[in-house]
Amino acid sequence: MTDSEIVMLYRNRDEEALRETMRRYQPYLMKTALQILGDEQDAEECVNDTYYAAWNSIPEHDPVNLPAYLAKIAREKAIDRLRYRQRQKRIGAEYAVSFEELGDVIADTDGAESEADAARLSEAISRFLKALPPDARHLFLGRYFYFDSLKDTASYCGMSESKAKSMLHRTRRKLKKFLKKEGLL
Amino acid sequence: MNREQLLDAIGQADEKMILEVAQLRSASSDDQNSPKLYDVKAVHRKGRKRLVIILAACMALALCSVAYATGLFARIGGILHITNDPDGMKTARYDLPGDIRVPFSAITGDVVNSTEYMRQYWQMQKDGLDIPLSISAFNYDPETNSISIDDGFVDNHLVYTDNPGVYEKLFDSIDEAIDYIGFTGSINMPSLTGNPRRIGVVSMGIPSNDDPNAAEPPTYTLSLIKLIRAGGIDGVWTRSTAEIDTEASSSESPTFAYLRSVALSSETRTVAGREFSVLYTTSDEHPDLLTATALWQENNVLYSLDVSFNEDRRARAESIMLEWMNGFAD
Repeated sequence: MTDSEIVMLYRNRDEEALRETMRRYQPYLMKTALQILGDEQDAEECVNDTYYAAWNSIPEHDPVNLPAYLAKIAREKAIDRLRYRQRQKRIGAEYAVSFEELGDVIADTDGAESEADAARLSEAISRFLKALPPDARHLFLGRYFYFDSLKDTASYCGMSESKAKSMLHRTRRKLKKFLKKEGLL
Repeated sequence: MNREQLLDAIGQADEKMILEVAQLRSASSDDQNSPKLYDVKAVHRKGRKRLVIILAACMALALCSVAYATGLFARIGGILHITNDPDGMKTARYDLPGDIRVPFSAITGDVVNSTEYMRQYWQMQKDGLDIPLSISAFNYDPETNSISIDDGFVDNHLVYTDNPGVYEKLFDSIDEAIDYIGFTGSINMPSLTGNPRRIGVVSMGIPSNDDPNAAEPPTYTLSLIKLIRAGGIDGVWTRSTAEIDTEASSSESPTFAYLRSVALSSETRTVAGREFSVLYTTSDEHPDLLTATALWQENNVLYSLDVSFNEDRRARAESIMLEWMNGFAD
């Protein structure tokens, strides 16, 4: 069954959509959530939340890339869950390291962002990522979207860890400069 | 703003980009439970990287084939094909009827020394320093949904490359740029009314080895030279190029390619006794912005013109494209 056919099942409110999604993408979504949460039970609950969210959202959103759409939901759910845990001082190791690295780009402030600011930031980030060379973009998203370890990210991007580290460092510096010029920092 | 908001924004990245990485993760995973999202195409990463970086800013092409064929009514530079990929993207490919790579002896200008800068860049990268190179993209202002007409190359619209094997030199005139290349054949950069200001030559080299931790920088061999002229003309962003591949460039046939998921279409235009291929694209993020890429190949040089415009500038964009095509008249 193709992704388009699965999406059609969602739109027709056919529960086969959920079974087919689980059969096809459960390991992928589990890996995405587990990388952030570091706890299998939490990750499983998070993936279940993802299916529920997809069931409720797809008729409205009609995703073009189903696995990426699901991964975005899973990531969001996992981060929400993590932030809850963070308040209880329990955080996933890779998330913590990635989070720390982004301190190069931005120092935390307590300034609350409006919805419009958040949308502008998202748009700017997408534009920045599209402008990056593919290797740098893959590395950046591997590290800060999927929260994969530096070793794993470097491996599937086909480069050494030291090169990946150096490239990530430069990309974060570029991002900082870019966000400043966009008036977002 | 804080880091959590930044991470949230990264989480809203374009789904195609997320999928790209998912495919890499999937392809490299030795976990039997890991899903194979798609049949990942066998891609030689280094070759692909080189290709993508040099064409980083916008439309891409590439090639390696020959001169022109003679049609019934007009000369044909190449044939444009568009295919639908399984992942929802479309790929355009400009096939030429033969090998247009030139011998090293055909390049006699100072550009041959650019490989020394590539060695320096390699060392800078190893030392953790930024490489001073950028390649221009079009200048689009999403706030006003318009293209800048001031010819301003605003930094945040530039596309950066981390590849030390790429060097760009800027010039005040096309003649100076052509002298710098020193091609023994001829290069034709049709003049455009409005005279786009930014002129540069991008050269690309292939390193003798890929070891980033080597004690000494590798030797680079010149593989591609691209003359680029870009700038705004009456609200239309333009970028014209003339590209020469040397014998060191890939012998794989051809090329192109530019992936777009929406509204990728093509047509042919017969002007000045030549049949030009024209590719039309829009982007998800700027659906109101249309980019037309005209392609031509003659005397071992691949030519392209990108014009990006909003609907109200269509007529002006058409006239610029026609002016460029007429510039090849015998």
